[in-house]
Amino acid sequence: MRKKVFLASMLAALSSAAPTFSTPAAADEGQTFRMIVQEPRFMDPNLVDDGGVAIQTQLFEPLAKIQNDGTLVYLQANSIERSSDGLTWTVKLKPENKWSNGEPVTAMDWEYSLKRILDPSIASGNAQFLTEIKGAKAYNSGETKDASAVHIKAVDDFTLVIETERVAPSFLAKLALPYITPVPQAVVAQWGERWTLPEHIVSNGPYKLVARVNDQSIEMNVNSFYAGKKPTIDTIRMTVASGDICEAQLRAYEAEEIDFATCIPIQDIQRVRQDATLAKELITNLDSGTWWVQYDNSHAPWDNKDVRHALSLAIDRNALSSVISDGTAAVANTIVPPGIPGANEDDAIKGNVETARELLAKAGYPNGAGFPPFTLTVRDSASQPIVAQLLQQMWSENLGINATINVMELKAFAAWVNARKNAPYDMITALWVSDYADPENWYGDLITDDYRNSHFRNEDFASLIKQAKVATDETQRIETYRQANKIFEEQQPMSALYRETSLWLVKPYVKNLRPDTTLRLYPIRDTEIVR
Amino acid sequence: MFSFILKRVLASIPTLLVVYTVTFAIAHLTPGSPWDSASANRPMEPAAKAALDAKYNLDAPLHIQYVGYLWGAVQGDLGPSFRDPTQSVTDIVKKFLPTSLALGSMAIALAIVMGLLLGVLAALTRSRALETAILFFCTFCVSLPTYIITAVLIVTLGVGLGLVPTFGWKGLFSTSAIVPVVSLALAPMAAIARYCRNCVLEVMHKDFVRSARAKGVKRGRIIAVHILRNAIIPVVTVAGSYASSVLVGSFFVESIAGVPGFGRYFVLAVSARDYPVIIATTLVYAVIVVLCNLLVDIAHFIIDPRTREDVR
Repeated sequence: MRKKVFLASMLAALSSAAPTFSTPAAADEGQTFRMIVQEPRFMDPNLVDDGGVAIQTQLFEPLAKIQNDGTLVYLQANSIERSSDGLTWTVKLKPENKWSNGEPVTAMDWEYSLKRILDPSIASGNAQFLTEIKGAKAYNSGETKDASAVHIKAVDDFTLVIETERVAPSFLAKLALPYITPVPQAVVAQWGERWTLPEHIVSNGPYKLVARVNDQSIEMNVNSFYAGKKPTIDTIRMTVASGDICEAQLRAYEAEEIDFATCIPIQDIQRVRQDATLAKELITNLDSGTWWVQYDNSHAPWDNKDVRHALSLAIDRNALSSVISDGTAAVANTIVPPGIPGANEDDAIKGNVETARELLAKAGYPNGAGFPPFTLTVRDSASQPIVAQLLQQMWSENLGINATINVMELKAFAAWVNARKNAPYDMITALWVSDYADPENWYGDLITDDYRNSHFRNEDFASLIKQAKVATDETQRIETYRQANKIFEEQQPMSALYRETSLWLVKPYVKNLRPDTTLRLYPIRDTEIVR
Repeated sequence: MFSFILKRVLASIPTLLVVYTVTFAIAHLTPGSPWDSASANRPMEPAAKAALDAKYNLDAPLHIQYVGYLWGAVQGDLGPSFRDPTQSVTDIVKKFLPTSLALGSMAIALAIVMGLLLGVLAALTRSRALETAILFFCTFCVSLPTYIITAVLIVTLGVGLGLVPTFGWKGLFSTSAIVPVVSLALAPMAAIARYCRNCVLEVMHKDFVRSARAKGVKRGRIIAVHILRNAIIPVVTVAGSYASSVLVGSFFVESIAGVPGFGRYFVLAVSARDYPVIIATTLVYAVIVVLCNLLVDIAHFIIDPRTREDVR
């Protein structure tokens, strides 16, 4: 008897574990889009400031978007007008916009959401896109607790007026970011942080969240109240992976378990490109982002321009791309990628390994003699330890200088780099990916605000960026950035290495799935399954 | 028996306190805070960081945090998760531990049954070739890391033959459980088989077995009652130590096979510096180890009469 009870309780425990993680109700597979994603850090769209935005864009829609060709398309907005003095932005919303519970999306929701993003107590990384708004900086930094001091105002149900502190030519691009979306004020007020749970959440985008099991699955259905172009795919089923998501995706893709893979593991790129079937299903798209090696420009020997030039010219970028991506990554000789106004690949420094040796000798280190030992610190990602080893080898063979490699776990690396604001180091490898296709995102946020702590200071460069930031004449603004780019590349505070290429695998029956905007989003709204 | 269990339970309290202290110290000493994002373009604004520190009491001195968390934990409140503020740590334990426990139970049951069968077979077979094959197989299983076994099983059974899904979890009684169960079971199975074989060989030549044979007791009864009962004692010890590690889940197996279990969540929490989850999962792990050891002792108590004498 006792044995029977034990067996029964074991069976009960085992079977109770099973349904907890069973797949949500089956939908018609023909109308279901299947993919693997990483667990999003946030489901609250006001907080998502990383790659998780690709998931969020299925649920929440911004005011507008800037397409791959640079043109603006309105989504939730009917129009966004700038006043003649360039300081006031009037956003007219589409009155037909609805939340997934049928309630209208109002200007009050937008006012609430933009101020919520700026609220330091929710700590949104997206606040930095809105700090040009009058009063925003003081509110976000905690100087004032009064949200009404921020100049964002719903003047009627569907009109939002925003005032900026100064003329801000790039503000429209920021307003059109997928990171800037509304949340339903009433729902957030009712449920607090738990408003993002599937049973509470409402969204304004083409899909609504219907099921989510943390770290296992996310399921979305069409939002029947969505006023924009109706999706043809009824259900999106996302399986959540941790660890190497590219490996999980490729295995599942080859076993016909998913319809779309967003990346390929480094070691499989060559095989996929040589496989007759997979090669046809491969979509490549050059990212608007750059990996570089960055020197601490504040101390010797890195404060010597000749040293920086020498190290840059001694790098074989083709070899790097070949090893880490089977040659799919584009060689980068300049930091700001093509497509960003102001970027110019002709500004790249000229020379070869011979020139590099001469420059190092000129700096006082003939054949590397007397060059101080230095450390190259990199994050523990799939590619960077390999990049570090290749750089170490190239500099040793070409210049006779020896680097020590320090590989750090991802979060430890991020914390370490953030702590280098006033602390010296030798060099790191780093990455910046365009948030929006405006030069301010690179010359302003990355270089002038120095988010990566390169400690680069150049008065001519700083003065040009200051002028460009408030220039109202677009041609003059771009020309100023071009001049700044020349100075920047000539100074070489960072040496560009390569630009990644997104490698997608898309099943042949999936149509119209294309990388969208600089953020490589995949709008499933426009995708069709044609079997 | 009751006083024996009570003594063991009381003795585990200092152990758990040491585990808590060490985990708390390591979690807080590890570089990188919960708010440093490894994937975002920009570092977090200092005001936002300060607001989050205040919200989760991370701005308090460490000794206050140490005592505060311990006091909460004793009362059953394991705190909020930094990584996912919509869930409490208690919710997370309730959600992820049962999957690992169910998976681990199945794996350890499979390991014990198969391990005993292979061990007895290797000891009693008269075929030298069969014995060598079993021993080779066991060495092979013990030597291979579980993440390689998992990957190989997925590639062959999933991608190659299409018999099991390559990723994801649809419950213990589905094909998605085959790869993780087998991967987790192989190493303990091999260890149990080797122990079992050695013990059976040792017991086979004892006097009481020879006497039983001389008295004409049937071979099956000698194996089941005289040999196995004595040979199983060290096997229980080995199975117990493996059980504690298998029951809480393996990060590698759970990550590669896509099982939403406790082992995977623990490592995700470490990567996210989710201090309350790190501490809670470590404590749960420690409790399971303590429980497994206690169960092994109780099993010895039942199987081996000599232990009962010691306890008295």
